[in-house]
Amino acid sequence: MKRIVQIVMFALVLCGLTVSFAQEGTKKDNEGFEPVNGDMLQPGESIPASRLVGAAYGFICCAVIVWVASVARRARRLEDEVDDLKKKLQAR
Amino acid sequence: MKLRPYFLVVATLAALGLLVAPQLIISAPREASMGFVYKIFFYHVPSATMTFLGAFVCAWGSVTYLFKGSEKGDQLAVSAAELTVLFGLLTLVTGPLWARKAWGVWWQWDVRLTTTLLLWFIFIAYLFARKYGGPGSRKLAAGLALFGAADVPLIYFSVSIWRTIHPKATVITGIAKSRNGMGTPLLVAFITFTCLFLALLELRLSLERARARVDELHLEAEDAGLVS
Repeated sequence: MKRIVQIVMFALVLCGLTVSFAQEGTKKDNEGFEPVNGDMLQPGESIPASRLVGAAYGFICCAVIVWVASVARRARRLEDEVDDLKKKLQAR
Repeated sequence: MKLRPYFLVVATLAALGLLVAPQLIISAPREASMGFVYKIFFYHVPSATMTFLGAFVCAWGSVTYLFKGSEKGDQLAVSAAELTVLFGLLTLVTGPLWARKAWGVWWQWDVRLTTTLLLWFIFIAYLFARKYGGPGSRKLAAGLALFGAADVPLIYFSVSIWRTIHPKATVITGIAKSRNGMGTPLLVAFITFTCLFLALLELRLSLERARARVDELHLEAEDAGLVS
């Protein structure tokens, strides 16, 4: 459980870094491509596009990490079961 | 867990791709009508493609299990079904993030979106059937997987058959062929997601192999009268 909490915390940090990285990338883009006023907000819009792109990448990383952690947890449980059964069979 | 040798290769490629792809995507030129937000496309399309691949692999495994009784086919099917749910979730989350900016709403009951959601629910039902269905649930789930795979062509051609606000499939080929710097990030994203899919599939398959070993040991222990 402690390990899962650590993994989730790591994933959240990664997500935050990705969002900030994506926002930084936007500035670089502005230098090379078409200029955009403000933070690419259309009139009446409240969410900058870079934040949505960063959130998408962050979500992908988080979901994959959580899924891998779940597989690892299930594998550990099975390995314990295998060891337990092997011990019982050897002791016979 | 015993992993096959190719796991290390595809896992390394996927990890490298996940590091390199964002930089390529950020440096790709901005699309004229959608601006920066179209860059979600580079994650969204490969995620959707891997969802379809997962559904087909699951259907293939289910067919070999249903008609040949292949245990390995069943292991492949359940592993691929879990990946279909995972990549389906990525598609269904990244899509609305794009839609919010491009269409002004998070969700539309558009044909492509609705059939994709349906596909995701079918594979959730597959996993639920296997977990809680009791005896005979593996065959029931295998049947469900075939229905799920049948939904994939419907999703793919929905944009050509019906009027929909979702971009058509030709957008992908257009970007792939373009010489304005959009093709390379798309190619790298596709390679990354394919490697990620293969690595996760092998990881999940190793779990199924371990489960089969536990079942064998349980039978041995039962024969020996150690467990009831």
